[in-house]
Amino acid sequence: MWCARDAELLRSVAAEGLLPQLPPLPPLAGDGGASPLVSEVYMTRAPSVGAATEEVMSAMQGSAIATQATQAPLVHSGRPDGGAVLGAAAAAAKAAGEQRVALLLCGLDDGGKAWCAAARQTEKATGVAFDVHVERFEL
Amino acid sequence: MLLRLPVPEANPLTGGRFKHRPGQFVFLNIAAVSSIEWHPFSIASCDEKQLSVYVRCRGDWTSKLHDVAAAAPAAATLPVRIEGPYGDFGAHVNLQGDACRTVVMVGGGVGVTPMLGGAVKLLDEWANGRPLTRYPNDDPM
Repeated sequence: MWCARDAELLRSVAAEGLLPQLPPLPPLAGDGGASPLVSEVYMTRAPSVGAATEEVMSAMQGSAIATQATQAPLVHSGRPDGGAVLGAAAAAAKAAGEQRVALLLCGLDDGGKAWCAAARQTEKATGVAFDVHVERFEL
Repeated sequence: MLLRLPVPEANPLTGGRFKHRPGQFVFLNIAAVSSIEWHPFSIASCDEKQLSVYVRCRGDWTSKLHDVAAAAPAAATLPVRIEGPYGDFGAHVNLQGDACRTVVMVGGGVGVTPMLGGAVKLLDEWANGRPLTRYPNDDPM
């Protein structure tokens, strides 16, 4: 899950050749794809999903992400709903007979506090434990 | 800006090999920018011979690095001192074990770089038999 303010960073990362190091993104959830990876991009300043999709597609032309950008729920506008995301992850883990979910955070505006709070709430509500790792760098 | 750095063959002080994994971080010192400043960067990707770090221009040091790189001839090389690697991205959440089959990675801005390396590593482990639960599907795979 990648949150970016605008397309500038996406364009830079794509242009610098980082993304091709990821294997081709898998088909999205519900399509019977074989890979367990589901990628989502959140354009936090985009006014709509359409605008966000356009930004992502223009920034990452030729990448697997751009190819799939029109397929919901890959691209979103605004910020992710941490509670909803973690609730779904907890449900997926529980349905698979698991009691733990790993949550890895890096580069978030508030240092990941909102996600940590969402993890605590989800843990109380579902009984599924979250193992949280936060990367913080001082500039 | 992407820095592609050749992996040191051996630590000049200890003789030990430089062992690194995606998601760890290194401190970089580039004398052409500042001889005394060291700055931490996540390893975005790596192989045995090269590691890559992504640098976003956000402060004086990174802006100056950008200027130095832009002014250098195309084939120029820039001496870089590397300290590390440090950290073990996700180790204490069992990213390298099989305790967590469901893994959620959230990267903000340039914070996506350690996630890229982590995702590649997870997929590699999955291809070699590590079970992972597909989000938001509920079937372990």
